[in-house]
Amino acid sequence: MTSGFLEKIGWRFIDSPVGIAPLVRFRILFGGLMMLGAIRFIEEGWVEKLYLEPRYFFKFYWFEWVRPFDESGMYLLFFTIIGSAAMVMLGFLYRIAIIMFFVSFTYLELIDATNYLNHHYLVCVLAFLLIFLPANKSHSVDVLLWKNLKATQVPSWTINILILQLTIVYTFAGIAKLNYDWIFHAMPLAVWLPERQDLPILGYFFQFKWVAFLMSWAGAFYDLTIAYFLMNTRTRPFAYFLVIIFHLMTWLLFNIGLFPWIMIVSTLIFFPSKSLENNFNEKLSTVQLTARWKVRSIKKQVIIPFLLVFMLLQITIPLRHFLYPSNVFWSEEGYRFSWRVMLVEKSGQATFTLRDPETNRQTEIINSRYLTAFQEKQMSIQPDFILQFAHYLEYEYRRTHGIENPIITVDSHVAINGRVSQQFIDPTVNLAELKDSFFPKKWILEIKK
Amino acid sequence: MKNLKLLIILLLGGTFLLVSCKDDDEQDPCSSNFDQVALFTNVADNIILPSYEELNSAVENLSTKTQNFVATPTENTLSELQDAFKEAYLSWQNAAQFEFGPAEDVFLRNSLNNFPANISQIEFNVENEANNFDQPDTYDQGFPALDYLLFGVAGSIDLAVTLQVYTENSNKEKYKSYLNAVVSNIETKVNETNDKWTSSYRNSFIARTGTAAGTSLSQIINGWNENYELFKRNKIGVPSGVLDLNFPLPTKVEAYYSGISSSLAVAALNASLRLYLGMDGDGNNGIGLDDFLEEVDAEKNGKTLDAVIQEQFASAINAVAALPDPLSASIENDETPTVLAYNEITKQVVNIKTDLPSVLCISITYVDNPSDSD
Repeated sequence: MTSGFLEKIGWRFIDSPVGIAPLVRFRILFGGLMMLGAIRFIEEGWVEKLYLEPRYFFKFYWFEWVRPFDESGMYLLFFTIIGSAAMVMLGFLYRIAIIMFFVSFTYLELIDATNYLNHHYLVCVLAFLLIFLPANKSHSVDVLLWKNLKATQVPSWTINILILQLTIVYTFAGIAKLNYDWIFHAMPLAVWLPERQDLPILGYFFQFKWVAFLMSWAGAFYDLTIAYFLMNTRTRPFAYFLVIIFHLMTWLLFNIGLFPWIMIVSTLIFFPSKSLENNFNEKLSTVQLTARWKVRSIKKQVIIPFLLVFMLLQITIPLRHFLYPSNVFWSEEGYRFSWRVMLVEKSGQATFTLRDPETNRQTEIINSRYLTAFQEKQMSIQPDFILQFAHYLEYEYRRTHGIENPIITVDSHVAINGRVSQQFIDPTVNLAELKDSFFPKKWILEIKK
Repeated sequence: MKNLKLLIILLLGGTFLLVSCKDDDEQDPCSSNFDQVALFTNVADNIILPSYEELNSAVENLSTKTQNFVATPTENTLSELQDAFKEAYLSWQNAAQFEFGPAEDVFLRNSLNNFPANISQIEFNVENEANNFDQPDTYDQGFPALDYLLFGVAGSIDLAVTLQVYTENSNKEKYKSYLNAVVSNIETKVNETNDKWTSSYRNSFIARTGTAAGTSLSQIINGWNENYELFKRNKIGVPSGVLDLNFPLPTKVEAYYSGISSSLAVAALNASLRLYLGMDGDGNNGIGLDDFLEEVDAEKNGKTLDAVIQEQFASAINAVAALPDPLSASIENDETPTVLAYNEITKQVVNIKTDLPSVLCISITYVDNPSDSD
């Protein structure tokens, strides 16, 4: 490979000036949507339900230090999210606003891992990227205040990085669908679609198994290819039409909140402004390219390599489950942050027993004394939650009963995609002695087919 | 453009390589189509409606006997009232599993059977003539309150001693009026539930097919499971001490004063089995959840799931039936048999709460997601 090739690529995808319109459009729509989303969250009463009612919160590994606030604190956090999202939308003190939004929204998501949703993670990632992008250089309050900020063109990487991020999301969502149950059993759509038979017209078809198959296959094909069809100038309009149809369908069928709207809005980034097309056709000699590429700036030396590493992480994180010997759908090791969206129908139950080795007295735990129904449901299928809860029980019984070294075991069963349940966690293992880590959890039993 | 195409081809090729975990599979999940209307019709006409009807007439009898007793408190009328109470409490066990629709509207389960009764609250109510029960979550009403008023109010199960409270006690009129109020509250709630079921709810229940939340199938399975778990925890678990570091709490049994806890528990367990089988009170076996399971051919541990569930019901019923009444005394004497019964009851939960909904491809909405999912 010649250095000329690399320079061409570098120029094309990183440096070439392109119209700012897609980025500005993205900023306005993203900010507006986030603002509405947070308002909706408050209106639905979810602040109380998800953050004020629980007495215990499940943590993300490395983020155990994150604590919920009291009522006024939680509302303050939400008002920060709403306010900063509005500022992002308006392009007012943009850099400060987007950092505030990223920090407050991410903090909220870190409070209780029970509420993990792929699209909330996507919001965190997009907000993080937006911190580095000059999305306020047109159609913004900032430009009104600081006239010389205005720009009509931006380097192409500022748009391409968002395109790349969305491509990663779709592609991994598609790859995740290429599993045996999805492809050959139409699972879990075969469970979910019949639930929506009450829908007018469409609902009639959901009783048929072939419809579940058709939609499973179409969904997998869509996720795998849509980003590439959106990149291609000729297929782009039709592909975007499909984006709208697909996400409206998911919005209609499933209770997935903002996700469809985020995707419908975000994919507009694939539409370049007219000037981008012009620039693509700009013919530059290798000498010219090299000259431009050699222009050094703080951006090129620090930010771009940093974001490159970030994007590499975005590609490797969804693949990390290959490092675990277990089945990712079963053990959930490497499940999160990997765009495994609406992929499996799973239910389970976990019954904990705590024994005091000194007195040999033991007790079965009533989970609902400590967890909300929703937390209990999520806990019963996620091993790291089971372990966290066991440690919480250890703490509680030490505090209330003075039991120093309790032995905590769990009888847990999980059913996946229409099968009978199997024992999930080794029922003989003392959870109180285990520590969570990134290493494979040997205390998760293997799934038998 | 060429590089882009290459990228696409590489990505697509790569993705297909990742198709994994193929296996020569068992039966196709979610493939059967069972006749939901037939199930609902059988459950409504042969199980739910007769249960409410029986409960309703038992409660009306209870009301009559209460009026007789209050008018002329004698050992004879008290004894008749006690019998009517036991009969009504027993028939409640059959009706307790349908806490949706009309029953849910009036908070039937909490109004009728929050136990153990809060004695000091009841005594306070009597003293202060606080005879209204508009809060369903209190423990001063329903059958547990009657259990106390008819069997334990004088600190003795002795008929003559109990009678004195209603004949000689300085507060006798207040006791009578509280007794009346408790019974008429039960009567009102049961009447209302029964009326709604017979007048209109039955038809809409049968028509509500599908597997979504709020359909009759999910209501049956949820109601059945919820009741089973309450049974497990409150009737057997709590008093046996398994939930409290092996410190038995015998006074927390259902029907502590009348001492019919085991009979009630056996009745409840049998009702649970009959709902599963689709069997009416006379033992006629109609379409039930077992027939659905047979159709999907689900297997567990080398047996059909249906067989596993039926066997586990049999073991649980045997173990509970072996507990002599009064259960509180049995537990005080030795809690081990009650703990063993608890274990048998517990083994069933995974079968009916996780396995059955899973193989019937009903994503159980036992718990509603409070927020979005993805």
